[in-house]
Amino acid sequence: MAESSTKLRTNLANEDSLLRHIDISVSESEKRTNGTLNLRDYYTVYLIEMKVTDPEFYDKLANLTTVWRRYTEFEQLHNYLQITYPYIVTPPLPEKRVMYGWQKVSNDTFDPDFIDRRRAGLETFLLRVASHSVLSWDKHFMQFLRQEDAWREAYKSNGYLQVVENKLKGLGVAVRLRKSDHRFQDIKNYSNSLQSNLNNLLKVRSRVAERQYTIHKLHANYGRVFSEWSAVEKEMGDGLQKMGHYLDSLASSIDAALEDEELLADQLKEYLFFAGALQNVCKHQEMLQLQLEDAEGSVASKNLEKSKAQQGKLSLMSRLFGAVDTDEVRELKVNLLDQQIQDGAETVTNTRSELSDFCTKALNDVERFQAQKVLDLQETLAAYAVLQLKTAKKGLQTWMQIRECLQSIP
Amino acid sequence: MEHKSSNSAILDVVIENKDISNILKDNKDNDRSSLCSNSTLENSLVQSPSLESFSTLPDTEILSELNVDENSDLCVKVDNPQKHLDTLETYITFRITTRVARIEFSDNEYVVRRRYNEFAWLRQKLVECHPFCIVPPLPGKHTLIGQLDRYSKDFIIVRMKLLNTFMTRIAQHPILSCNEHFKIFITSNQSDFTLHRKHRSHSTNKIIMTNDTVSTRSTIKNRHIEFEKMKDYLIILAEKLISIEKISSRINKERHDFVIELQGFYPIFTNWSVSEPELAIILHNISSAIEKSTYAQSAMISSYSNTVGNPIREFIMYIDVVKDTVHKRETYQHVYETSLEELTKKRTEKDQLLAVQNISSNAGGFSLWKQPSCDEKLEKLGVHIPQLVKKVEMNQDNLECANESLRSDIERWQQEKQKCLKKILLDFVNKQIEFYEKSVSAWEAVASELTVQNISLRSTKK
Repeated sequence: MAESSTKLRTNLANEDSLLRHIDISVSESEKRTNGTLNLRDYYTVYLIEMKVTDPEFYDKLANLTTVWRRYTEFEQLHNYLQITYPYIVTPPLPEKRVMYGWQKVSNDTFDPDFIDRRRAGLETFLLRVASHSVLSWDKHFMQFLRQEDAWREAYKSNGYLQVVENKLKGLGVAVRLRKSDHRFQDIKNYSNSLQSNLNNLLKVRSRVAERQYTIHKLHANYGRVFSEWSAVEKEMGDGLQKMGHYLDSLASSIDAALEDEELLADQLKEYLFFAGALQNVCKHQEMLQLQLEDAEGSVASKNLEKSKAQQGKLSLMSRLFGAVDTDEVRELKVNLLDQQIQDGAETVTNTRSELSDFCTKALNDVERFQAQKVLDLQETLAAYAVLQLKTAKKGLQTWMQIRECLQSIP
Repeated sequence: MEHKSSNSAILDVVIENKDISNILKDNKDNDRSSLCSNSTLENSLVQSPSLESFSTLPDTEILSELNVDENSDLCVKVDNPQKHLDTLETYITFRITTRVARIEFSDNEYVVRRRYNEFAWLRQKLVECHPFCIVPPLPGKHTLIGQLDRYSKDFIIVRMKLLNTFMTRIAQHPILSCNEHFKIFITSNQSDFTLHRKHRSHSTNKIIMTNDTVSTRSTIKNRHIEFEKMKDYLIILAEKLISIEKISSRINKERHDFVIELQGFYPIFTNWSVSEPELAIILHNISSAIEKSTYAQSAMISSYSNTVGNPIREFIMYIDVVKDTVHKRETYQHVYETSLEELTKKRTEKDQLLAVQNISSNAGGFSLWKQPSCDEKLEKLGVHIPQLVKKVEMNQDNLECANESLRSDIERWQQEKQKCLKKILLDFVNKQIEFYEKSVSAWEAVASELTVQNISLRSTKK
């Protein structure tokens, strides 16, 4: 995995980001407790090491800092970034609960293998943030990396927890637009298909892995039988004994291969969650566009009201009873409406520019994301192919060795 | 030597017609044309409605697996199944081709047709004539394949191959291949053969094997260590082979489910490539590699019965024959021991009577009335005991013969066993290698595409 994250660092160090000047690693994990011995109060913390690699990047604090963070704190950071930079495709965290587990991949979040894979995923998350030209310079992020307690204080005092909750709730609401932006519609459609494709792929892959595992493990049964058989044979004994050993080795060889494959599955999972991040960007765009349409609509209706007021006809009552406003009243009303219309127009202008600004930045980041995605997924898929080739070659080699054993029998 | 007709083994149906059989009878023994499918075509032909149950079977496909050894002086081959419709029944015959260079045979080549129950007759005769030879087993009446239709192609082919193995093993056996019944079986035409079968064969068997004698397993006094060890070995061997078959069958079943899973897996890559123009190539390559590998695995799975399952089961039947033969020897031993016991008993009786006689003659004339019966008995014993001695000697001879015969045949069988099992295991392993080779080549194609596209990898050292 160390080699893989080295490659990731190389892949990511393109833009002017924090990662050009420092290096981050999540190197260890530890089990902590809240004081009680209740199983529920156990949690795991991860050690984040930050090292300043650029000698010119001077800072008052030490060149090497270490902080311990638990998963929930990572979640808090992630959510903060998401709502603070809604136009950025926020890098996702590794899974909270085990998805698509199978026999060898337990659902237990305290399982050491799971913790190790999570550790790697958290490192990837931090590297991606640190390599982003916008996200990496966030002060809050820097504090997260370096000041263990101070960050927690700041998070509380800024009331981010509440803000995040509200904003995230807002994203959950379905939105109906008068005329949706086709560019973001395209992105939304793409993210939906990415999500469904990766879901299918991951689901079936774990079933395939399970079957492959079972089949290989069954071969261990041969080992025992051949060994027992070889004991009663004279000329055949040697060959049978060796064959038994090779069959045993076949059974145990699959473990390493499937562990490697699980790491690749994690890389695909990351992009599954990225699809969600894309969807969030689109939802935010829709929300802004809705605001604009509402603002525009509000101005339009105020204008309508104004023209009605000018004609003196306002309410149903007045129409029924034929009462007509006095000139004074009429003027008051019109002035009020004028003011409202002016305010409204300003709102429209502001909202429109906010939307346009958002769209530009978002499209820009989506483009960056897509380019990065192609690089990353090409590597993941290539690694998958190479792994399959390696596994097949190993199998072939073992069976050929078995054949030699048999042929040596007179 | 082969007729053109042997190039295709289309199963034709022959309706036995009285006129035809008369014509056939007039032909000479060795007129092959009367026995090959060609002439039956000319004589009569009614298409069977169930002709579809057979399809064209190229003889070469069958031949290659028959392992014909051209160099021995007696070589037998079974092939070319044909369906026959009689007024009473439908049955299948197989063509038996023999090439022989032995003095006892008047010709060099023979071709006859035989049906299954005729093979069964042959086996029975061989067992009767050579009780301590290991006579190879016949394929069962209702086979290993269980529910298959008796006339289906697969069943017939499997039966034919097993019959071929049976005949080859006999042909290679130094004693069995010289058996008179065997000779008649492979050389006579239908009428001569039927005649021979009807003829009551005098039992050349010295001891008739009945069910009662078979149950004497635990009653022999002196267990023969050598044969005991053999029995134990056979039990273990059969046990291990059954285990291996069970494990293989289980794995095969798992692979079958695995293949189904894989068939749902590789299309996902293709589907995904629709929305990923830049990843389309590699996704397609991966999908196609998985597909090819899956197809190869499928082929391996379907070959299981023929490569592993049935061969092992057949061989276990062969082991059973050896076990039975070893067991028969015990019967001889039991008979010998019983007769020896009887002899000892009679001798003891005689000694006792003599002792009584001595006492009474020393004691005086009291037991006058005893003496005659005593003398009578002694007289009887005087006749009986030599008879028993002869019987014991004969039994001992038989036992020694049986032991020798069995010992040497077991030695022969051990070599055959090694050859047979080695072949089964090699076939099994070769199928695996075939699968893995195809898998490797499928993935190598993808890997080389990668280098073409110059895609670097995250983890290259491992």
